[in-house]
Amino acid sequence: MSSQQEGGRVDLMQLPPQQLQEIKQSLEAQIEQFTINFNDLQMAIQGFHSSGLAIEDLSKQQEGKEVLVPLTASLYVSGTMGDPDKVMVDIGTGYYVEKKAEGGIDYCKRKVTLLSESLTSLAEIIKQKRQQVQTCQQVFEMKMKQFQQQEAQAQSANQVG
Amino acid sequence: MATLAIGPQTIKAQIEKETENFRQLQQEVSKNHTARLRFTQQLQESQMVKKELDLLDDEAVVYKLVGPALIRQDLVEAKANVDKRMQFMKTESERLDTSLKSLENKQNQAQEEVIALQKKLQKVTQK
Repeated sequence: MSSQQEGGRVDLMQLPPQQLQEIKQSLEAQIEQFTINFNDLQMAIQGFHSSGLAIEDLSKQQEGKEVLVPLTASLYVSGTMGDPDKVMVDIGTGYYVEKKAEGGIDYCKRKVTLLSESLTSLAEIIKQKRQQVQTCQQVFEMKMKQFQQQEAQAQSANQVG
Repeated sequence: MATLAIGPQTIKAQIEKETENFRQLQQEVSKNHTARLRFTQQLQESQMVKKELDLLDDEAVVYKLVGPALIRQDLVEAKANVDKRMQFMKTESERLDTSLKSLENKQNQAQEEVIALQKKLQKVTQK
């Protein structure tokens, strides 16, 4: 927008206090959004982790075993266990793949690692943004102090005159 | 006297018109933005699916969710479909990119127009 933003770097000292506050606010909004994403990611990791454990549990079961399948929270129907080594994996956009239990566990583990990596990089970004907010605040306070000093000087000059 | 009285009024009306124009452009830009975001997200998901499909054996069993039912699909066909979708989303993103650029240009023009009109108004009222 302005020539001050050339090269993607802005000298905070050059900006008026009002704009500093605006930058700070937009940074804080970004942090808030990223924190929400961070929590969502954590939930997703948790989900894949427990799915992996569920497959592991399932694969230990025997075929033909009698089970009660929950239809609602309080209604169960009886059934028999199918092949516990066969699982269906939702790989996204409506595609499902039949995998062996081992493959399913492997899929969940891969997802957990992938998401954990994203989580770490997101945490790094949030940290950086927090630092930027701090710098904004510091520069803003410095500017306010300068302004007050100037004001005081002007007043004392007036009184002398 | 009469011309002086009408002058600021017409300029004010013009400013209002241009500001309205600017606001509309702003809305279009944000609409474009959300659409682009959606495509990028879908593209990313598709890329993940493609990666997963590429990892599978040739005889792997693949289903596609159609409504509430899972329909058996050929792996080769599934890969081709995902590729096609990804291609579509890429071209769509690019199309949105170019339209975003022209929208931004228009927006800048509208903004300059408003500023110029405001200056004009100041001149007229100061006289």
